[in-house]
Amino acid sequence: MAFKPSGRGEKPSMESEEPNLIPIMNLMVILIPMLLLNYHFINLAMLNTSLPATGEGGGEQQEKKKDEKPKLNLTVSITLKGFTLAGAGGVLVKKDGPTIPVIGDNEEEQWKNFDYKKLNDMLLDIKKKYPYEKDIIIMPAPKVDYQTIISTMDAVRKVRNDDFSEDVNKDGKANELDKVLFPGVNISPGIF
Amino acid sequence: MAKSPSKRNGGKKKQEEANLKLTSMMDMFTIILVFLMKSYSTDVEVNVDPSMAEKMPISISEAKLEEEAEATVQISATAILVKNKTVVKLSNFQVPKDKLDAGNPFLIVPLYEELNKLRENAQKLEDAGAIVKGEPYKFKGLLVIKGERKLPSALLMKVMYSAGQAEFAKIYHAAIKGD
Repeated sequence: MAFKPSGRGEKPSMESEEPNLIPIMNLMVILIPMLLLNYHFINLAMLNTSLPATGEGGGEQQEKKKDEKPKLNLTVSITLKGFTLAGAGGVLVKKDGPTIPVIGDNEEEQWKNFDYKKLNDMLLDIKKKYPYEKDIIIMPAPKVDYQTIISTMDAVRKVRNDDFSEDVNKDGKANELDKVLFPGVNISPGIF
Repeated sequence: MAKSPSKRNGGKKKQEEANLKLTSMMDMFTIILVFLMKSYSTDVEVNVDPSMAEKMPISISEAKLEEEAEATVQISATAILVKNKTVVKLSNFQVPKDKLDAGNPFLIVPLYEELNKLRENAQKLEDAGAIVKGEPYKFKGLLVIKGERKLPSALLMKVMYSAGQAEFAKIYHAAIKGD
């Protein structure tokens, strides 16, 4: 009697079964709209400012800070002619004009006329002399526009070139904080 | 001769199940999901409509809002809005004289009143011991200003002064991130 051929030699079926993806699909269909709703297509930056304190008299504050170094009261005035820097010791004035005159004559987009790079460099020099100083007052003239104020704030807060950390920071820590210039920005209406 | 049975009526159809191939769709969804999860953040954000966004100033700052703002003031050439509600109509960034305080030309009266109302409501919540996000509510006086890039500083100062008078002391300026 002939034997039944052994099943050992038979090749297993090569058809692979697809996993059931429907539950995962359900999950995706819920997750994707949820994440899309939270997605921010516009990235906003938030610049913190404060109004100069009024009506405090200053007596108590001055007493508290007797031991501290004298305040620099650094001020950047913005006029349509350029930036003027002033501190407790005096005003940095060039002959017949602002400290940093404008470099353009664009009436439609006046923020393009200002020399933010030079302002940043000058403030870096001041910061090297007064490393403890953190505050600055920005005084825009009435016709100066919002973009100029925002760009000035950018220029006074942080160093735009990278040569700062070696000069001021002596404890060997090189981090983002070293590049900070004057982060405490006050906006004050100027008298022009 | 007997006709052979019609295939249409009597012939049994082969009951084949149509299998939907979802693998490629899954690939696509996985990529989208990973991208969206990567950009997902729990930061406090302020909503800006695209028409306003294109007129807003540009900043290189990386700073973000640390806490949720109690009020948002939007300033365009034609109006000042508080929480998307028009409080003062402007003509080319000019505030009508009757909207300014007679004795103090820096104070925009309707804006001050609206912000003061918000502050009073917040004060009531604080006094009632309201709990927000698991903590007792406290009025922080945090205001976000969204202005157009051509907004003159004279008007910005008036808005900031009016906000200061309504005890909104922490003022954030919203700008579009860019170079």
